[in-house]
Amino acid sequence: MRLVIKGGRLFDPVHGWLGQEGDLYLAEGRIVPHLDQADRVIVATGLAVTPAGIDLRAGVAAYGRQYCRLWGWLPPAAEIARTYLRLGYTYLHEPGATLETAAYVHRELAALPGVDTSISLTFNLRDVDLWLKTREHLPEVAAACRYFLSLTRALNLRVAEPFVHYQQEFYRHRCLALPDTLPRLAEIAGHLGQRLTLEAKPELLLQAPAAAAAFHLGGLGLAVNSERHLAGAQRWLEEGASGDLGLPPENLRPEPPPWCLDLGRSEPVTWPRPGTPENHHLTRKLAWAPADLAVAFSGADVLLTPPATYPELWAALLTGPGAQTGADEAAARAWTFSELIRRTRWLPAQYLGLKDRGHLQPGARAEVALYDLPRQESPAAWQQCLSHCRYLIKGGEIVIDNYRWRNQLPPKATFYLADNPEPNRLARDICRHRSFQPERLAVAAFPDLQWEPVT
Amino acid sequence: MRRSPEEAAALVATQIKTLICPGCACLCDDLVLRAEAGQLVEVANVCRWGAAKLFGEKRFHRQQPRKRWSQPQLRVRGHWEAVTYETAISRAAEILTAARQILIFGLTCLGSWAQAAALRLGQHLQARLEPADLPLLAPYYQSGQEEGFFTATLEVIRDQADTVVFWGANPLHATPRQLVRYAVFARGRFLERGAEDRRVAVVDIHPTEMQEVADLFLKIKPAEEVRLAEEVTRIFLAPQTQASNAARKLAEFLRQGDYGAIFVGRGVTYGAAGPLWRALTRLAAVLNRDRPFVLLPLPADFNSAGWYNLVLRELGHPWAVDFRPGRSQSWDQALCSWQEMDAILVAGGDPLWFFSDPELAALRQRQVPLIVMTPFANRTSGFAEIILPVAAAGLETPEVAYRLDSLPFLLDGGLASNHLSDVEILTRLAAVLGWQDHAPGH
Repeated sequence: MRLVIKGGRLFDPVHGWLGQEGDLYLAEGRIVPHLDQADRVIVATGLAVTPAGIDLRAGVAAYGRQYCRLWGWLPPAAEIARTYLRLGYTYLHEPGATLETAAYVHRELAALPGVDTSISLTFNLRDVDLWLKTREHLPEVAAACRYFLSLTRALNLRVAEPFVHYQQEFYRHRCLALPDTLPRLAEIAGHLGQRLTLEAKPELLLQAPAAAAAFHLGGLGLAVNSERHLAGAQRWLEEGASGDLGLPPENLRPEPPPWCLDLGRSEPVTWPRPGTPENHHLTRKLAWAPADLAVAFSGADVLLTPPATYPELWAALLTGPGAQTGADEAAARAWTFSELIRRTRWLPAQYLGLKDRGHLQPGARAEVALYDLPRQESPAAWQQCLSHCRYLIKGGEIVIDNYRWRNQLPPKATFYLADNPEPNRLARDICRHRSFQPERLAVAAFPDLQWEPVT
Repeated sequence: MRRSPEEAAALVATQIKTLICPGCACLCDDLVLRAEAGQLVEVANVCRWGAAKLFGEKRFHRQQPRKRWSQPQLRVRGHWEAVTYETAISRAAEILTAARQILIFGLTCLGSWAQAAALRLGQHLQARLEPADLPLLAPYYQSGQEEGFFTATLEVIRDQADTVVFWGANPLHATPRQLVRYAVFARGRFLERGAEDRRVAVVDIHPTEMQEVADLFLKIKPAEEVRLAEEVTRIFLAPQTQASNAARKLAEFLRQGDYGAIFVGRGVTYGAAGPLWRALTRLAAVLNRDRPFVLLPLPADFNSAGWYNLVLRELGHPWAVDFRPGRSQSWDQALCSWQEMDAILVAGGDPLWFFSDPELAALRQRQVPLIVMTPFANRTSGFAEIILPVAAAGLETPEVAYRLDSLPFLLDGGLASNHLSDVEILTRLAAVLGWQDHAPGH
């Protein structure tokens, strides 16, 4: 479909479009410089025209999350997808997949209609504990990681526990403390040629940020427990780390029954810690810190901050601290709408290596969301405008047309890193110790999943 | 996706080295095939269940072939008549169109693509869908909803569980290689001597073969199961509490473990499954205060986990799905009465195996038409109005199945078959009923 979006206020802050009026041309699923003829013209006078959103921490498809549906904490797949599309998001990234569960996560993501997806491979350092001990083995560890990324069709590597810890006395000599693993992980990131995501933990934020540019700190919110942690997080970001906010909710939900899933790490996966009002307050301070820090927007966890609550969080960030918060907020500032777009579109796309998303320049994917802009700058007005995009275009096709859903949701794909390395000795050894044959780890075998490589 | 006999023969002869077995929920993936002239002659690492499916033999009587039909069958004046798939599917569509209360039963022995097709068909027909192992799994999910879930992958259990309890479960009959691959004899990362590093307890109402494996075997009466679980929980909460000998023994057994796993089998459905699951979940919660202890159901059907995963994902609950009009809710935790039904489509199950003679007589008297999709003859197909023979899912046609810890696998289905797959039949049925179903992977 050839489409012209006419007279809208264009927001692509990285390329200097901060809301000036202009036209946008879409053809064959891409943004193009100009079109002489169009199948449809959308008159967008007064509407904000933005790239479609990208959620870095969807958390809707992780293994074991199906149980959360019993308590109503996670809606059915189709409802999740529609919520995201309504908000103007067309891309979800799932951080919680492991070697064993990658196929599961991909299949769950494939069941979300209309939204593109990708995963991070969460790597368990226990699998390479002895190899991490000696520096000369690190290239082999990186090569094994590269192979696993390809095997599980993941975009990047994530480490949830950047240390090695064993309860078993016999294995104590294999433990590795956080300060010892960080330089090794930085070296592995260098070999991989991409940032390594570390799940933000309070103890991590208190470490000296050596080789910070090698890392992305995922979900900062729940780790920022005090001013010390906040200062630590800022230090990491100033030294070159990227991060995402992992903004905890303002109002806590009631405590659910226990849920405990053992994936072979030092601690089982349980309910995300709900955070405290202090977490919430400090994370907002981090969000309002100088705009040149590479901190993308994300919610703490879908179970704590479901996507439907994002507009409320955005509205609060857009309108600033307000009168009710403390005097220490005096120097704080509010986000501009351009900044919101940068943090929910451009920065996530950069982190995931998606060059053709997150902006509106020719060649980018035709993934565009159009919003009403509020007449007055109040939280309620922003929340209302951002809760439902007026138009949503995905792959050049209109999904939401003047608030109305089109009948069919557009096709979708799962994005993965285009690479096809051979397994090395370490990779083969790790595969050999699974409870199934190594070839079963290859998720590409599933013929019902639609893939698209990222180069 | 289905392969011609020639293609499949070539695959068997030249390419397939290993195979995932759809014999039970273990989905063992270390089977090695040997074929001569395209015919399967030998399979290594297979259990009796797998062999029965691969070679078409009876489970308990090796060398006795299981009957397979070469064509669909219609019952005409009490006799079977071979017909084409088109005729059989048209007749099935007529029956389903005429019926007001439709039940789709079984489902847990279908692959995931077929399960999804059955769910869409049920929605279109406004039918009720009931998985065969609902009596075991519904109370599991209900107790989890109330008391919590304590789970792990089989990988972790293999690596760490030094204390394993089978409650109302006989894996030698339900999931034969579960003991070897994951729970008892398997060598794990922290249990390198396999069975020597583990201790096994069995709680059952009958003596079973598991006695040979168990360090502690507790034979109890069905009515005492809940009390036993509650007593053990009380012992952990207040060690001085009064309790039976059996409870003391079991509590002591559990106390000695560093990492435990409790597998609960179909045996619990012969008593009060709901209260027992609740008591066991509370016990697991108490045990988890001091050590990791997982609690898992042990369903036998090869893709039971696939069904529950599907309905949780698509509908948000794991119960029986009820799309029948006029219902106040679209789900149900209990089995429905077949007396309510006008037509029953059985796919991926053999429900009549569990019926008593009076129940069978009542079914026969009501003349409820049964449409049965099955690769082999079974008790249910003996009562069918229409038999739709299908290719064995995962062996003769590719399918996706979820292992009992909910990890999915692609079963590549390299063996030859002239039969349609479950998905193809359900899709064709949908087309005859007037809507175009899209089956992924096909």
